[in-house]
Amino acid sequence: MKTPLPTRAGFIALFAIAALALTSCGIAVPNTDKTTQSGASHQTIAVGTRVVAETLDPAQGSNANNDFYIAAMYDRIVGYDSSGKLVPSLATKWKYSDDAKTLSLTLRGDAKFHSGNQLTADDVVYTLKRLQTLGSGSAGYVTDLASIKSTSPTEVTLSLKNPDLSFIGALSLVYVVDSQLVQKNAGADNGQQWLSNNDAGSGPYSLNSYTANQQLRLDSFDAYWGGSQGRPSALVLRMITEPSAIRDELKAGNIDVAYGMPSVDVNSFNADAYNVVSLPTTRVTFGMMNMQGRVTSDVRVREAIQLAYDYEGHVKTALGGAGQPADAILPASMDCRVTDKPTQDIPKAKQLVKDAGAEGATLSIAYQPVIPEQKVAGTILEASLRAIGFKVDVRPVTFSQYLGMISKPDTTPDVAILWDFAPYPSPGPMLNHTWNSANIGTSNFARYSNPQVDKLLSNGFAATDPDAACTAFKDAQTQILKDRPAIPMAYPAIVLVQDKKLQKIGYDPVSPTFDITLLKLAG
Amino acid sequence: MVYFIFRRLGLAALSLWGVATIVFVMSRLIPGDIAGVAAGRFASAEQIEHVRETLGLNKPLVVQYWDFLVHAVHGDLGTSAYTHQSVVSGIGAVLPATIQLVVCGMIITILLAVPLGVLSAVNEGRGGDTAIRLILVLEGGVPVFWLAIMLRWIFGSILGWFPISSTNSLNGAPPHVTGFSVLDSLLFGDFSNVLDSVGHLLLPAIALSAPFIATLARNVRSNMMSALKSDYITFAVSKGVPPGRIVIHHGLRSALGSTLTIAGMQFGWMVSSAVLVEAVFSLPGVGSYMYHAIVNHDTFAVLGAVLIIGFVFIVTALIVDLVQMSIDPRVRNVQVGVA
Repeated sequence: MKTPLPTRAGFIALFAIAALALTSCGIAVPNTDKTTQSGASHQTIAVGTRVVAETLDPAQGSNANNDFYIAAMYDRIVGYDSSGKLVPSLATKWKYSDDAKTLSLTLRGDAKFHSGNQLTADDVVYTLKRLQTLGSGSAGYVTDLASIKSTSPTEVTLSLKNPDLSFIGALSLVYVVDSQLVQKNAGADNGQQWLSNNDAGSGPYSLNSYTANQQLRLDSFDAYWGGSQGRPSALVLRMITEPSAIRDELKAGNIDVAYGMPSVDVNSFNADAYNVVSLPTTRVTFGMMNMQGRVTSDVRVREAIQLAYDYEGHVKTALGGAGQPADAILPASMDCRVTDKPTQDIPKAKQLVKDAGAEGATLSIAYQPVIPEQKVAGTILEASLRAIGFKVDVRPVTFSQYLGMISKPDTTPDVAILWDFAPYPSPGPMLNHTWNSANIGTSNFARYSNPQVDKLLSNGFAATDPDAACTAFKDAQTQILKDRPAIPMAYPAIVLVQDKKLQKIGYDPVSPTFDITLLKLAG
Repeated sequence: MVYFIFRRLGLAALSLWGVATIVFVMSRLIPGDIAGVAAGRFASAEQIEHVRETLGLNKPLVVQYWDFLVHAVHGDLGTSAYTHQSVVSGIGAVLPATIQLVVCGMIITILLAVPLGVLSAVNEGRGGDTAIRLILVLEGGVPVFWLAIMLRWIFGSILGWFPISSTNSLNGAPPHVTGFSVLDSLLFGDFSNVLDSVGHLLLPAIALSAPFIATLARNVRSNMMSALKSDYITFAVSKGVPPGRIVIHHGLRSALGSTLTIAGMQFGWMVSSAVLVEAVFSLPGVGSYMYHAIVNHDTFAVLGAVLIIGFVFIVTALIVDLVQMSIDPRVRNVQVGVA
């Protein structure tokens, strides 16, 4: 039965209510971002990035995502220039004792924190002791530190557990905090909670506001010891997790710098209006092979896998052209490298597999699907291994899962695709971290063990002469390359698209992404 | 009534405990090294062990579980292994954005679904009914993620009518008071900020509400059709009661019982569905918090986010029950009778 109800008036009323509600939700609100951007003579620069900060605590600067934001607010003890040369920052001078076990620092006297407090040696001491107490994050860089004391307001003496000429480089990763301010807000967790969203730095920018997972607003610090020449008066760092949204925001003029777009989007920007900047990184993409694996323990199999991999294809498809094939186990920007560029040779690889009697064996591949490069590299590796007669078991994992897997030889994947980093431009720490047998189960991802290499690394750290250290590290690399524990796949580059109102950004070899403090206005 | 409320709260606590237990067990069944991630990439083996101890991960699983429950009862959901912040404050910072999005999504859902459902019911079998049902099938079948991208692309990127991402323009963010950007803008009396906040909210809210509109509208249609065929409606029509009054006052009021229940459930579902929309529009929220926590195998953060979502779901269900009891004596009698 149809209900004989006239409907028009009632429906109009109902839809009027709905329309009113929609309007109240802002249907006619214009895009105010655009208007905002045109103000203040472009002194405010907006950066759109996929990098999301987990915390702003400088003790967690070892996480590349956090470092991106922390570096703007805090000063490092020392720095590196674009050529990888150690340069002064808060410390203007440094000197090692003859046995390379004591390091004396002289600090600049004109550095002030954003709070107005003077930066002194006590702040450096507090910062390093805090790292040791927390025992996580950047504490990993200073494990060789035995004790520290201030000898005057501008002088600090560090005692090391072992002779270590590279330790001074590690101080380029230590961000000094305002000890008075942090102690005042330390709470029960050494200030971790407070520093997660507050600023206790002396860097070129001070924190104006922070919305977790969304936006950080920084103001140029007028009293900065390094001056503010060419810097924008404010930076807005927007965390935009969806790559196409970064592209659209840049095209709409709502951001001035875009980082994190796929190459297809990067190529859509007109060179007349934008600068596309490619920066090298201290990152190497590896295929780490399980040296204690059932099949991959055979060096012929490992060599076959190296020969099977499509290195050019990696750069072309996994990196979209932003990078180059790796030619060493250290980043291209570093000194003391031993190069050995691998090339694809399928017939030779097949022969090696046959010689090893490994035809038809199953190899497991692990990679992190959240990293687009590794996802594509996983596909390339799978195809490469199948081409030389292996069966393949592909396992997408999180980094945490992967760390759990490498604790035992039988759960370690036969080949794992991952990034390895040089924290600063010195070969020792990266080589030691990744290839020293003491780190098997944690950061020695290939379970690589060679006493000769361990000894060479130890000699390199103990050497009081930089040339002798370099020789030892080169010898270690030669031996590692001979043992073939990994496929050095590629050196990924960082690609930014910038509005032409900015100069092309410079390179900072300590920054795992790019250093936003190097953003300067054109003209 | 008081007994009913306490009984429901007891059941809610029991449900949360069940959810927490399941998630805790599941998170521990997934292999991984949380301490290794928390300690940082260059941590030594000793530092990793130190972090494992600090986070209590070296204790037997049963002790970890008990510690978690005891702390949770006291409002402490632990410390995130990745952000090194308390989970409560971490979620507290992003929860308002999600709640704001879901509330706006609910408003859109109700204001579109109810009129569409009513229209469809009163036009049963006619062209209007068919057209509405067709629209609902199409609209309800569109994946939220795709719809969100399309809305952003068309109305944000191409037409420029709406912002593309974020909760505010670069200079449009109000000072943080409650974390609800619209409310904070209102508190500071800045109408341009209010418009800015609301403008940023609309496209995400529409995308989020899409599948829920279809479900709710079908429910309203079905209930209305039953109501409009009731004897009391026939009686009202024969007595000459104005048609609008019959539809709104007699038909819709009667039909809204189960609709209210579904709308309440949808509120909880929306909170858990928000992750996709938050990702597309780069909004901070519980969804994105939980996504990062899962990717990083950050157990306490995952547990906290699941418990908060469960809490929202349970509280919403309780409120819906109470509202239903207050407006429908039949429900009140049944519930209190059971109690």
